[in-house]
Amino acid sequence: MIRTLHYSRAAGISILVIACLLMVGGCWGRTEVDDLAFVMSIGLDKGEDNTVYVTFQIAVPRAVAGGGGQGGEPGSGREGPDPSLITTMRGRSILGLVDMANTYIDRRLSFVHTKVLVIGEDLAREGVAPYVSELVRFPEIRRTMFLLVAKGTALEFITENKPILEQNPAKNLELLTLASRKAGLIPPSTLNRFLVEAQSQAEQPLVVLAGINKDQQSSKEQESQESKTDEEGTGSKSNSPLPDIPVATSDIRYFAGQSPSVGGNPVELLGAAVFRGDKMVGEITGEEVRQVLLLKGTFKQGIAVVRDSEAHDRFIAADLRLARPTQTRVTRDGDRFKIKVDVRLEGGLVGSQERGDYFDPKVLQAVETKLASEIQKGCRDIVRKAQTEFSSDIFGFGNKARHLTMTWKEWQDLNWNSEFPDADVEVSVQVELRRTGLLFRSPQPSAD
Amino acid sequence: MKKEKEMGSKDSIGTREAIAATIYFLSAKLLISFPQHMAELGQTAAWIVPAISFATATLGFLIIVALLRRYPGKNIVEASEEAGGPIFGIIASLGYFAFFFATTIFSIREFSETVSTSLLPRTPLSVIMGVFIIATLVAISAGLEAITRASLVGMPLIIGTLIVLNVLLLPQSNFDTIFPLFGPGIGKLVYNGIIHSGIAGEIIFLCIIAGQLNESDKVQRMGIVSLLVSAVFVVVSTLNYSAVFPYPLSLHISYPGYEASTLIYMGRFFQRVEVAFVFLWVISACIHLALSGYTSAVIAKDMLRLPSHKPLLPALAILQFTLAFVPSDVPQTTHIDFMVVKTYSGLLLFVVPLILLLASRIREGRSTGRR
Repeated sequence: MIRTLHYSRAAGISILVIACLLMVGGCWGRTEVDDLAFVMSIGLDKGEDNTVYVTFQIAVPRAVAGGGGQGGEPGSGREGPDPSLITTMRGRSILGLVDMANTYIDRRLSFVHTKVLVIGEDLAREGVAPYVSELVRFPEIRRTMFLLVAKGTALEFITENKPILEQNPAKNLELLTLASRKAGLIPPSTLNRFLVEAQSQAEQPLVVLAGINKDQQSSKEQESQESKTDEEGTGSKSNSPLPDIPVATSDIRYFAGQSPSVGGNPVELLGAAVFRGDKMVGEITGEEVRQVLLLKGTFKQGIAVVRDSEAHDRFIAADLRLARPTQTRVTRDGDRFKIKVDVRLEGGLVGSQERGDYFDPKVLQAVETKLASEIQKGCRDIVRKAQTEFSSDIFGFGNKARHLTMTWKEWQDLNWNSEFPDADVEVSVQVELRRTGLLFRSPQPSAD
Repeated sequence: MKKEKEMGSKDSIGTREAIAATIYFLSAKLLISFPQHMAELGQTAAWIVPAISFATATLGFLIIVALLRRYPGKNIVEASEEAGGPIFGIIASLGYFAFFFATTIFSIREFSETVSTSLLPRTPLSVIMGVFIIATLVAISAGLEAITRASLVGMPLIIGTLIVLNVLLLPQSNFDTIFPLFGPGIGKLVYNGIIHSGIAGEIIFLCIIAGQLNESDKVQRMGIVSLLVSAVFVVVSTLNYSAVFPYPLSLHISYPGYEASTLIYMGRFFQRVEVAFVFLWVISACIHLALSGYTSAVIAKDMLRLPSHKPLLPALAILQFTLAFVPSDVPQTTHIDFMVVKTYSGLLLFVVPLILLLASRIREGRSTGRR
């Protein structure tokens, strides 16, 4: 009797263990990795008749592993298959097109590794809520996905992205976003942040602006044209060995696609698209993004360059970071709101073209004052621009105004979006340079 | 004694084990759509609602303990029958049973739907629910002692997970968004908090297993410690979710705990960590289901005056499995759970014992007067 009980108990436990092994392994919904096509980026462009163009950039594992080239460009030295397959479809629903894509892509599309959602400018201006809403409901889509607005079309941006240092398209897109973010020239922009800000009555979204550097494209075309004519022996080389690159008044005052550069990947992330709700209403340069980040208190680190106060053709560069979180105070004075922002920066000189003796406290103080006044002016300008041109609180000042109300109804009645353009904003910036790099004094040429 | 032990009805539960199990029971709701419902009730002040509910539940719990003190050695079902007589007592016990039975049904469905949406979208729901039911049955068959010990062993893991999750979410949080501080207004907050005291209704569990506790005289202390610790978890986590998903976005998120864990991004090498959390959540779900399944079985056993709850388990499991499919969709399931069960159960769980306590005192007063 005892033995029978013992056996039946053992049999019960065995059945349970086997059942657990089968269930825990997730055999029911199993999918082999080589059955999947991993979409790295999704592009959305406006189509006619309420349709949308959807572009999928899909990783080609064989090419990624083997270091494939850009479609086997002759002379690139990296011949082989393209590391990603780019396909564009047109329809009414993004996810509806996924099934259609599987009629000509031999693996099931998977979005678990999708890094970037690129939205074309036209669609962004029309409103992106329906499409973003469609995507975030889908369990495979991660809210940490980076969100970009492409000047021109998303298709063009994805197609023209020719990574050089990185073959893995997923890694390329992530590194590209993180590198620009570290310099403070693009805002932090993810799907989740966009949803939070687009639904908020206290702040409006800023989304990374992406563009294609036409100068780089044309210089590449020119080079290839020249090499062709050289081979044919009929052409003559340009007189100047240096490319003609137009420059702005500041080294970071550019929109995406306008950076003063030649060589490298023609796509760039610089500046931001300004939204009101889910609609894009304008764009700001990399320099303006930095000022917004300073006012929001989310600036990490970056190099600020100012003109020397004495020698106007000489420049001083300082590596700055926030000395303490930006202090913002919103008060109400009758019908008007007063916003006081206090930005404290610290850092060190990292480059100086002037002949300053930084042992002299007055010289360093003069640089600090110059930096502070330039940053302060920039901050005031961007606030004015946001109030007059965009009517959009991209600084999140409204979050500090929430404290003025006690209930949600009071907050809704306050209607911050209509109050923000008329608010009095006072910005004060202080800069303290703690170190002067590896030199106390600048080198003095003997001829002087 | 040995026979009773074999039947699984007289386990011996230590104080720490009982507290750990009660904390699990009270806090596991954080893993499903609880924060979303709090946002519906409290708007920007979503975190204040559970704070008031837990405070109200503490008062209710003290009333139940006062009732239990009048009937030493008895649990709440037996005490209710003693205090309210056979008819009113059985009605009260049916109410307790209905609460735990419904909690088990909705929890099975909600935990399974969470797993289905987040991890196993291609696995049929019935399979996921079946696995949960089997795991729960095995745990209940092993007895309350096994469940509470598992709770104690898993407690550091779950506390650690909750702390790590809340800390890792800080970069995503904006605490300005919890303002306006009083959301729908102080009056509505207090009303919603009190009326939804059923949120902490699982505290009755301690009064049902009172007879099996090694130190049954310390039920009050155990309950208050459990309520306090759970309230801290629930309030802090709801506050943090409100800062991560500000109102009104918080209304749209079906599974805030899971969604929040997917937002953790500490650079290229530390992301996609939700799998670790989901694994622990599934363990917590199993313990929660085992506790609620066990409690409903024990109440049924006491009501039917059976010597053991074990013969009831297969029948209850089949009923729960079947009834869990009745709500047609996830929104309906969570709505019934939070807006019906958790709304009206507070009245049942805390007001009925108050009536019983008063009835028992009046009866005692009369009999003393006669003497």
